[in-house]
Amino acid sequence: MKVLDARSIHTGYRHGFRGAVTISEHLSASIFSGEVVGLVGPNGCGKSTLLRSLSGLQSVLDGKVYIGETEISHMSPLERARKISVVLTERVHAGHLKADTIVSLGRYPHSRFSGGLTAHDRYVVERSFSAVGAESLRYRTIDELSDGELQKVMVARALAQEPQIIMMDEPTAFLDVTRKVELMDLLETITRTQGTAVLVSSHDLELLMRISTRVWLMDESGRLHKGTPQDSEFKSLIRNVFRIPAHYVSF
Amino acid sequence: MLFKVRELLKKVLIGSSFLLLSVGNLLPLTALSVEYAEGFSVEERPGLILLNVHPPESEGYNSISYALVGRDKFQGLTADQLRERFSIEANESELQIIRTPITQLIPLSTTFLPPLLWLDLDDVLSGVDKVDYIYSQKLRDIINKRSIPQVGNGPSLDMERIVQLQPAVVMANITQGEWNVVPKLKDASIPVVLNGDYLETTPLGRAEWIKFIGLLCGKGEEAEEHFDSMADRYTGLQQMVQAELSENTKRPKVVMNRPMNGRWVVPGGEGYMAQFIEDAGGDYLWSSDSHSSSLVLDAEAGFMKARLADLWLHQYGITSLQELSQADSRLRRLKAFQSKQVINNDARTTEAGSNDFYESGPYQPDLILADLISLFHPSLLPGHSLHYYRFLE
Amino acid sequence: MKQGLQKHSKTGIILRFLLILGAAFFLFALDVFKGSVDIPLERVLGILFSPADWLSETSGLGLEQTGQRDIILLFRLPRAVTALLAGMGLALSGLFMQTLFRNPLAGPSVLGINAGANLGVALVVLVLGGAAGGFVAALPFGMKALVTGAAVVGAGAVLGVVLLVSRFIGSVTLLLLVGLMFGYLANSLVTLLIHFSAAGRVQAYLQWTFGSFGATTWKDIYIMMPVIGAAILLGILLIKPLNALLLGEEYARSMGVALIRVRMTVIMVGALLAGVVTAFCGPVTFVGVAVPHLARGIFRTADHRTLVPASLLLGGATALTADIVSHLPGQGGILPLNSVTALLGVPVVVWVLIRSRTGRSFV
Repeated sequence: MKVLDARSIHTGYRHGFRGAVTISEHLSASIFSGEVVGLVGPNGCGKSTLLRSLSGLQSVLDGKVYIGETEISHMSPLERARKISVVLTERVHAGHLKADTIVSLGRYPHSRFSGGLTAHDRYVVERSFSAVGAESLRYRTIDELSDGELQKVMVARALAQEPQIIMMDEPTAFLDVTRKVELMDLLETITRTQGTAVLVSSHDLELLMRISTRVWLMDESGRLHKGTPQDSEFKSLIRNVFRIPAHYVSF
Repeated sequence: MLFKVRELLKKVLIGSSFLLLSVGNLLPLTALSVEYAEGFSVEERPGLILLNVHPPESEGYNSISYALVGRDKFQGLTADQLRERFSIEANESELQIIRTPITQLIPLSTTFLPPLLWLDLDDVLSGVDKVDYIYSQKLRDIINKRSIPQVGNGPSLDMERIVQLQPAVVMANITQGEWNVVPKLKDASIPVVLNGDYLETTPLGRAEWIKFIGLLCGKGEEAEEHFDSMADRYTGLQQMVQAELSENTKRPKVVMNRPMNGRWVVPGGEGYMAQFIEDAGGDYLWSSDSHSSSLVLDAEAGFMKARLADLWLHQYGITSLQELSQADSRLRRLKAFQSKQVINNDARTTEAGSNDFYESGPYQPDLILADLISLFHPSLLPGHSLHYYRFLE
Repeated sequence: MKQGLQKHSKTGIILRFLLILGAAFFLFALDVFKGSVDIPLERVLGILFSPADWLSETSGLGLEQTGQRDIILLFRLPRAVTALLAGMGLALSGLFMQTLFRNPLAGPSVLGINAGANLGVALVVLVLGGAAGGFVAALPFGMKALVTGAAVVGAGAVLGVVLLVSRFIGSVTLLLLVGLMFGYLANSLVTLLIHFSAAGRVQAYLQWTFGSFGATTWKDIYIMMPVIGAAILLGILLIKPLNALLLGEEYARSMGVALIRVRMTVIMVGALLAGVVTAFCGPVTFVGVAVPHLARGIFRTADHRTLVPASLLLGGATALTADIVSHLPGQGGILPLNSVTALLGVPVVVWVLIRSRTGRSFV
């Protein structure tokens, strides 16, 4: 089932009165439920911009993004939040908050206006914790968590939102190898068990190739190439874009 | 022939001695006695007059002495040399030489202006704070006609203007002079004389500073005359009140000012206004207080006492009873309000806001006293029309 | 065991709330019972709880008794109520500003709102006051209403500009800077006005800047109470988005927070509270900045569902304490409110901050 459809969009930034800077043009792509889409590309090519544009954190300069039948710009923030959740790179600065509170915040688009949680909400929160294997972290405060543990919690939060897609912007950037592997494996499990789609951008090429259903490659000019991790032509394209000699990587 | 020579010699002698006497103002400066004022005293030394300013210690101001020296005398001597020569007490108080009579004066307070008029010293005026602050039309006319410059005061003191007006002497209020005017002037070597009339706690004491001004401007005797006749009127009124009122006569209870921002500030029991009220036969509600300046009270404490008042004096910035009740509706409950005995001292005020009570009042306490007596005990001064005060309606 | 932990902290929270509520009640009572005029306790209770006996004009009460009645009902009670309302309003405003700007130093005055109110009052007291006898007399309301109105208009004007700017400036930090700049501008204009004014009026203006809960009558409270009440209600609606904002603006947006609208509402509520309190009590410093930290320290949480009521209660308690202390000196003397708030508050806040082993952030 197609959950996201980007139709000939232009991504970039508007600079107030000075006009706009375009990063990608005429970009079309789709995401289907249950799949993991890996987004790769050299630094600065526009991956973050694309991710932000697709998640609604940023507006597109042209073209339309559809979630199901509705266009993203016609959705209220709450409606959008029920469909898409995000996990970003930076560590959250909320030291005294408990992990439980953070994941509970994921229920924002569903909970009562007072922020209070129903039994169902609490069930979802608990389920999210176990989905990421972070039950033991539940009542610890943020500043007691390591980067890896924190990112797991943030993924749990994203899950608690019960979205159709989770979009992740370099979630493993600050993690050590073990945690990177752990997190990536987690993503694969989630999509398998929950049916959520995941769009994840990362510099960890090998890991990404391992878990992705499909891969989007963005080159320096902002063009998007789509392929699968099994496709050898696509793989050599990736190597070319990154200018990596073949024997350096295992894919 | 010898007779004619003798006559001629006599004339020459008399003429030249007159000449000698008048040249350089050799008329001897006479010391005056100071009876009521506690903030200054006058001493005489051969050839000069010592004007000592000694503010009450509790106020924290420094004493200073001015040696009033004629222009031609003791040229080139420093203050220290003068001090030695005349064995002027070597205490901490500073000694400053002021060449008298002062021919150009810049009074920074409007209180100092009316005495200049009364003593015929208009010509001496060479600068003022701001024309708009002055009540007296006569003074304002003089200032405008002679284009006397405005030099401001406090933080907005126009130093350049003052320097241009040199060799004028600046007369500043001692309460104001210390930290934002005097140091600036001293740095620019401009002579400053500090007038402490505001610190006096008695009406006559305050008015006696006219002698201070008079001595500085060479009109000491005239000032004394002026003061004496005024003091006679004052004490006359005072004595009349004492004579007419017996132990049993009811003295009206008096309250002053109103609460602002949760505070009710009233004059202290040992201060200027308290003395007036007592002299006029009134019963000031805080007469037992020992402050000589203001007393800051909690609004409710002031209110509790104010309920007893028969008469209510002084309302800054209010011109009618309605405004008073709008300022604080609780004040309507006061007896003095309900019986419309609210009296303000702004009968003589200009549109710009200058109030003559604070301009000519300090040196004319007899007028204030008369007003108060007529308010407290109308039967004692029948036919008196209020000068500074008016009833609020 | 985790369940146990959770329950434990819940009772902990309830207990703390009860304690603070109790303290607030106690302080309110103390503020009413104790004042510069000595009134025996039984009399105070009598006046408060059977006002009928005391209010009737023909009850044959002596002069002293009517005086005491007037003091309690017209001076003390309004003062205590004002302190309570002001403390609540300032604390909530401070909390909102701190969350919005993610800055522990933020307070109600951070957007220049207070400075705007200051400017309004300065304009009226220094420029119009005194000289404008005729002008003011022509108005249907008096000087005091004019001063209050000017404070509101001044605060509102700055608020309007800030809101306008906030629509177009994305970054919240930039907004903070703009607000601060406006504050400097307004304050420098006030200094200019002081420079050109006569000593008497400057004195009057200076008195206003000391802050006071005792300047209000019941009529004023009839305006203060609904305004602050409405702002607090609006503030309660903001609890959920504010919690989301704790994770940062991007996460908040991704969770469904309508960022611009929430930001503007937070600013409006914060400014409304700050403006109304300043209009009726003068600029009261410190309470708005310190109380949210106190709340965080006592409850060890950043959750606004706890912090909002906690700040309200603690704010009221703090203001009442300051009011009581400022009326301590005997013989009817009083201390300037703003000195008391800081003198009392600083050691307490420092103690709380040191205890709370602050990590990387104050949240």
